[in-house]
Amino acid sequence: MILPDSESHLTLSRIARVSFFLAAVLAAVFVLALFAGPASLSFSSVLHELFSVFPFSGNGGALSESERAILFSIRIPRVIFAGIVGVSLSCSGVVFQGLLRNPLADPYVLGVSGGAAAGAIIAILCDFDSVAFGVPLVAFAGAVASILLVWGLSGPTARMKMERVLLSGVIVNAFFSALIMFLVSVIGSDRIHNVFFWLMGDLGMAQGRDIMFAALFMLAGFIVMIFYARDLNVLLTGEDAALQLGIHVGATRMILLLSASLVTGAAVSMSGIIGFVGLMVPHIVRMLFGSDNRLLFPASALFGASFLIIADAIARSILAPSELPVGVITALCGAPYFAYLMKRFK
Amino acid sequence: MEILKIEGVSFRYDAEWILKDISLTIGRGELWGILGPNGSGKTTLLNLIDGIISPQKGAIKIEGIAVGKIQRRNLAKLIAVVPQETAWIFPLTVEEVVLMGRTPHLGRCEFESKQDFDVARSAMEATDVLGFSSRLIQSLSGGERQRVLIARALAQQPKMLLLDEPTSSLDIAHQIRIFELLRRLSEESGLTVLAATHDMNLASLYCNRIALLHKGDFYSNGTPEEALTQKSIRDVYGVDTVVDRHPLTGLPRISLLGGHSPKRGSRWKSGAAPHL
Repeated sequence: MILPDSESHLTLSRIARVSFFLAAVLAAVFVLALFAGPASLSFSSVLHELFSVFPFSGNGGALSESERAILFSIRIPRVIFAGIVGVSLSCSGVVFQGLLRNPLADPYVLGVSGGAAAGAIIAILCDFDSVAFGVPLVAFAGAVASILLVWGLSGPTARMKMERVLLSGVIVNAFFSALIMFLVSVIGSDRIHNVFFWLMGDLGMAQGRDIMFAALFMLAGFIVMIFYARDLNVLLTGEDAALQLGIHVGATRMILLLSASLVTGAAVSMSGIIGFVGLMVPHIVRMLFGSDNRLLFPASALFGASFLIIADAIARSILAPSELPVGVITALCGAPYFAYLMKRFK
Repeated sequence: MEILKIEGVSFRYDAEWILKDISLTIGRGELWGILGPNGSGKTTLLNLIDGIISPQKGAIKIEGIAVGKIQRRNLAKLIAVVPQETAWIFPLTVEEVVLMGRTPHLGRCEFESKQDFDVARSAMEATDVLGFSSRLIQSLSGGERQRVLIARALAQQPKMLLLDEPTSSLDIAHQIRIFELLRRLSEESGLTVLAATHDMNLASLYCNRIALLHKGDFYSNGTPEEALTQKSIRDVYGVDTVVDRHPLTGLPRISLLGGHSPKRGSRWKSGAAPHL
C-alpha cells in the first residue's frame, strides 16, 4: 500500500488528497467488481454500456437484453449496496472504538447485530420473505430494540459510564445470541440455509428501495460523525481530558453512539452480520494515515467500501455459480492483510 | 492580585465529606504545592477547581466568577489540567496530542491555523518535546509523556495550570526538570500553577506556597517555612521527621529518620532541628 504523503499536520488539503486517492481506488474497484459473478460479461461492452448512460456517447451497447438486466438490476445495485454497507460498518467501527476507547470494539459490540439477527430470523420463520421490506424491517426493529435495551440498562443517559454501556451491550448480545440459537435449533431445515446466510452476511438480499433506506442512514450518520470528529479525537485521550478541553462529553457521546448504532442497524438489517469490516478497517486506516478522526472517517468510509466490494466480488466468483457468505471472505482475506500491516507498521 | 478564591467549600461523593469547609486564596503567578496523604482530598480539590465536580457547599471563583457559571469551553481557556495518568490506546503523534490543546480556541469545523501551529510549537519548545514531535506517544518514556501533556496544557494558553502528581513516576532528574519548568512558567509567564504532589522536598524547593491537606481540611498553608514543620508533618502524616534548613537555599529540608528515632536532648537539640 502506498501512502499519498507522510506530512505531520492534518490539513484540509491532506484530507482531500487522501480522500481523492482512496476514491480513485474505489472507482476502479467498483468497475472491476461488476465482472464478478456466474455470467461473464465482456469488459469492453460493459464499459461501453456504463458510459452510454451519459449523453455524450451515442450508440447503444453491445450487451444482450439479459446481460443488460444482469448488469443494471443485479450487479450494479449489489456493488453499490456492498459499498454502502462497507461505509456504514467502517465508520461505526471508528465511533465505537473511539468512544469505548477499546481497540476490540466493533459496530456489533452493543448488541445491534444480535437484535437485528433475532428479528430477521423471526421474520424468516414467519415467512416474511415474500412481503416487501418484510425481513429488513423486522430486523431493523430488532436492532432498535437492542439499542433501547442497552440505553435503558446503562442508566440515566447524561451520566452514562462507558463501562456500563459496554457491559449492557455484552448482556444484550448474550441474550439475543441465546435466542438465535434457540430459533435455529427449532427451525425447519428448509429455511436453515437462509438463516445461515443471514448470520454470515449476504449482500444479495437487498432490493433497490432497501438500498435507498440504508444509504439515507449512512449519509445522515456520516455527516453527524464528521461534525463530531474532532471531539472524538479528544475523547480518545479520556473523558475527563475531553471535559477539561471544553467538550460537552455527555451530549457528544450520546449523539455519536446513537448515530453509529442506527447506521449499523440499518446496514445489518439488510446485509446480515458481516464481521471483521467494522473491527479491522478502522485499524488498517489508522496504521496507514494516523488516528485523527477528521481523516479517519472519510478514509475509513472509502477504504471500507472498497474492501467490502472486493470481498463480495470474491464471494460471488470463487465457487461460481454458487455463492459464499461474504462474512467468510472478509475474515479470510482481511485477517492475513491485517497481520501483514501489523508486522510492517508495528 | 488574586486569581482563584475557594470560599467555604465542602464536597462529598456519598455520606462522608471529603472536603470540609475549606477556604484558600491563590494569587496570580504563584506556584502552589498541594500536599497531603493519600485520600486527603488533593485530587478532589483539583477536580472541584476545574469544574469536573461541583461543591455541595461554598463557592470556587476564578477571577470573581463561580466556576459552575463558566461555559466549559471558556473554562478550558482559563484552566488547563495535566492528569495523573492517561491510557494511550490509539497511535497519536506528540504533535497531534499537543494540538488538542487548541480545541477550546477553535470552531467546530475549523482547522488549525498557522497561529495554532505556532502556539503548539512554542509549547513543545518550552517543555523540550519539539525534538520528537512526530513520534508516537506510546513510544515515549514516562517523563517524556508527562512533558507532552504539559505541552498540551500550555497550548490551551490558560491562566492557571493544575497538575495531579506530575512527578510521581519519574526519576529524580526528570522530577527536577518538571519543577524547574513549572517555576519558569510561573515566574516568566505569570502562569498560576497548582501541583498536587507527594514530594515535600521538591515542593519546598520550588513552590512559593504550600497547602497541606489533612482529612479534608487545610492543616496549614503559606510559605514552605510556615507549612512544613516537624509538627505539621507528624500531625498530618503520622511520621516523625527532621526538618532543618537546606544548606544553600535556606528552605525547609525534610529528612526521614529511617528507624533512628531522635533522642531528645541529643545532638538534634542544638542547631538544625529546633522544635523537637
